[in-house]
Amino acid sequence: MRPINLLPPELGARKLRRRRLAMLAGVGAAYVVLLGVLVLFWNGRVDDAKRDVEDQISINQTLEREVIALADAGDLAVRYQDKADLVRTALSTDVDWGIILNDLARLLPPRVWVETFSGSVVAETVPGVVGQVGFSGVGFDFPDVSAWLRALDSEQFAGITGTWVSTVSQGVAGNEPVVNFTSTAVLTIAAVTNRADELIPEVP
Amino acid sequence: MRRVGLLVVLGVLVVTGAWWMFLISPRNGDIADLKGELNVAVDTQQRLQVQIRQLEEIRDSEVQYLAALGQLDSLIPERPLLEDFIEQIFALTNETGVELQTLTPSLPAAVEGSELRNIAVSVQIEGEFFEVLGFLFGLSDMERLVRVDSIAVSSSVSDAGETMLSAGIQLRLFTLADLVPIEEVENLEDPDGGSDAPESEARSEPADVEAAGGADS
Repeated sequence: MRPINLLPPELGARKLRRRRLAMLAGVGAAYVVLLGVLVLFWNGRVDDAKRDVEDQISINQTLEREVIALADAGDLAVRYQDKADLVRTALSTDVDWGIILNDLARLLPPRVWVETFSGSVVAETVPGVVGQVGFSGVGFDFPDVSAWLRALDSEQFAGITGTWVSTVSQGVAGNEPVVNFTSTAVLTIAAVTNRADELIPEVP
Repeated sequence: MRRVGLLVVLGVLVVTGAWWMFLISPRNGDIADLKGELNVAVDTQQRLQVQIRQLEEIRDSEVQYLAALGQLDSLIPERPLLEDFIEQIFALTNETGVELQTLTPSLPAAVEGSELRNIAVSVQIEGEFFEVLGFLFGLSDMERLVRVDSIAVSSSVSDAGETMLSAGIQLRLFTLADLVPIEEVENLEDPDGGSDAPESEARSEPADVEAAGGADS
């Protein structure tokens, strides 16, 4: 049976509007509560992140205490490294003159002999040049001086380059005519020893 | 009715935006900052663990380190130890057969930019070629660090007809301390400000040691 409403239609419309407003207010309140819950959830995430950082800092503090407990070992390594550095400093541009003299004797041309030899380490003003050497020698004739230059400039004589003869003059040795000459050359980085590496004891 | 719906949607958007901007966004910022701090702390942990491993290895190898330090101390001693050097070089001349004619050590001098002190020593020797060569190689092999800075060799023929070499060698030893500690020198100065004259004289002149024993070899 169809219900019959005798009340004015405006009353029904007002009631419907009130119900809708109440529903809207309820939905709004639920939405605000949801936002509040989400804020709490975010607060939890911030707290978790803070706790992670604090845990990590605590782990690091434990490790730092271990490092402090091992400080003696660290000091030992530093002392070793400092001393090794001093040896390296002391032996920078160190030249093995024994090897140079030995090579000189080995590579001397047959008709040439050396009367004086001098050599010194110099400050490295020209890149790659660590020292200079000077010779005065004697040969039987002028071509012997050429042989001298070729011998010193050969690749067999490591560490010496730029050989030059500044004077060649005729002379006499006993009854034999000879030529006297003076010569210079420079020492390159190849003449520098690796003594520092050999002398510094290796540690594990 | 449609207008009310639009207003509701607009209100929801405004509230949500404000919620995000004023409540969530700062928390997201905090979380990002804390994650950054955590990453740094994790890196620190890894660095510390590597450091601890290295230090433990050093602690386990302490004996080798101490032995190495002992060797390095022999190469560059704390004190000049000139007396030991003279004995060692005299022994070397005996081993190699060269005659040690003069030995002129200078006082220790500071090396610029380093805690090292140089002791320049001038040595004059005489011998045959291979004896001189042996002496030069022997200097390199000495227990103490010796480097040769310059050498001047001249040859001559002896009465017996043998070629003899006379070699002047400029070499350098190293130490870590001055001969006289600086503080003590300062204390010796008189109250009027005058310095101790004998001390300064001793510093300016190198000691000259004639190696009479070398001739015996």
